[in-house]
Amino acid sequence: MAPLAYYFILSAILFTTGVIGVLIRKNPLIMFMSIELMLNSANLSFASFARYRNGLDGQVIAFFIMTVAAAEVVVGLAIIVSIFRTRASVDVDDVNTLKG
Amino acid sequence: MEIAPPPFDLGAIAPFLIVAVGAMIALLADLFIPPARRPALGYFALGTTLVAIGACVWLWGGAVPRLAFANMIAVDRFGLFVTIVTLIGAALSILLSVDFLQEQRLGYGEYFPLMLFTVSGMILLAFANDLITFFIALEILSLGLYILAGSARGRAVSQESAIKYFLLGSFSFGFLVYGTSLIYGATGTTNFTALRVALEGSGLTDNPLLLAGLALVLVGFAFKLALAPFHMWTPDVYSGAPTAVTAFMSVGTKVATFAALLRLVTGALPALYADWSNALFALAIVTMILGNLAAITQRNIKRMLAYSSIGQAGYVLVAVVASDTTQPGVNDAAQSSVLFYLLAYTFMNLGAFAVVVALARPDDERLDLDRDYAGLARRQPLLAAAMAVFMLSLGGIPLTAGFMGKLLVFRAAIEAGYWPLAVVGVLTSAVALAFYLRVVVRMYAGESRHAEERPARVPVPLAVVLAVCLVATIQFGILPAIPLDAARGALTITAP
Repeated sequence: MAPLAYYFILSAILFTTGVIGVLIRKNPLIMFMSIELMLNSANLSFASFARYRNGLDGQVIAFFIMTVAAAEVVVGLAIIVSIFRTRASVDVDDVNTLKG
Repeated sequence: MEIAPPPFDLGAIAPFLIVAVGAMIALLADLFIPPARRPALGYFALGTTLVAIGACVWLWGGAVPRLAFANMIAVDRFGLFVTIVTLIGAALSILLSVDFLQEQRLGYGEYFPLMLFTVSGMILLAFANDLITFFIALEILSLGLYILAGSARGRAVSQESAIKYFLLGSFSFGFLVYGTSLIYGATGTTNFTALRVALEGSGLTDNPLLLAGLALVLVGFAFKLALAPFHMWTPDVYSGAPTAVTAFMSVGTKVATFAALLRLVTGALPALYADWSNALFALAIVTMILGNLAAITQRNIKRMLAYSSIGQAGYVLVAVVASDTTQPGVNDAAQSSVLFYLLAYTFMNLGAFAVVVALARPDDERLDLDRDYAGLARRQPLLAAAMAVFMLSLGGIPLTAGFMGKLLVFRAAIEAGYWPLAVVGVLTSAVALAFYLRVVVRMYAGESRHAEERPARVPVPLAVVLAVCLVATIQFGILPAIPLDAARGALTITAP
């Protein structure tokens, strides 16, 4: 079996990829996919730590995170679809009525 | 092999259950009620929150503190105090919404059930004694708020508010979850009680994995609490969402999330005090300065209140930083000032938003400070007087709840030796007076643009909200003994 560090480094790379994706991409769908990547990197990290520590709770937590991620997909896609219906575009640069 | 299920202590989570069941009943009832009678759902939701407050009072006198559901829930007076504050905020927001929804033609539909679901998340957050319970609760409350922020479906600003809130909210959730996984990796547990035991006197406190996890979790918190420099989403989300929703999320989310932060750092991680207090120290200073400076340039009242709420969060954070559990006296003063400030903030901020709601017209939300607030005192003297009290209280003028809150917070900071925080706090409060007083000056000295039109009628529920907020704001400023004693009595964060 590969040592824990491999899994941990992979999860860190996935997490960083997700963070960078959210920060540099402008399409909400891609940003959203990047967020999912962040959550899944946490799943990998939980599962591998649980295996390393011979505990079960980390693996159970991964299921909780999947459930939460699924609920987020429902809400997120609904919001994106409702925006697309009124504007026929979902680029975040076009969604700029409010000035931060 | 027989596995014993953990005991089901449903009584311990009675307030949560009441609100969650109430939300489901409201969701079902919505199908059968004719559209004209929908406001009744609002009063049903109001009743649910009041019953839940009753349950909290019952638990307050009962056998607290106790742990339930395999230590994932801690029912103690701290959580109950925060829950009561959240429920009061929710009840007032519901009253605020009943006529607002009708007037703005927003449609009732899922509004009140969603609000109740969100409140159930806030309650769970106040009781969470495990990082898992904590992030599930946070997600229950956030998912409801994402939808509520976008509940004015046809309006571009509302949609924009929802998507921004959603993307930034889930982004911060990613940080929280990954941070949690690192803490789990370092300690093998996510439970607050177990974490404290694991960290006490162990060599773990320098563990890089643990510290990285703590840092990521704090980033997640900073996003949720809109602490600078993680506050960019707040003004857009607050100004785009329907005003009643903004009022609700500006108080409820902050109160419950601050409670969770305080429980995490003082209940689970006192061993890492040096680390988290330094991080929060920096955040508090940046938040107080940025929030208050940015508010000065705002002409839109909702954006101004959004930046003001960022600044207010900075003051609460000052007291969180001072919560050093190794000095019981200092810690008690700091934590009770957090609770008192959150209570005072709930009333004064909701009151200010109630005035904004009262001025809104179906075709025009009347948000411009120069155009719509100028000369308000001549047209609507009562509303203007109420707004003046809330502005003075948010600004921290003596004889108001806001002043008492700031006084307690800064005193706690000085007692804990954080005088730079107190100095920055006092200076930024002085700066903040500039924009709070500007609203008052506009209302009393300006020339009204809407002089010829009939003054807005203030519906009865809204008048009740204004009256409650006014009385509380002034009462807590002159005689703070009752809420302060309650806050001091609520300090036992469960630690068996």
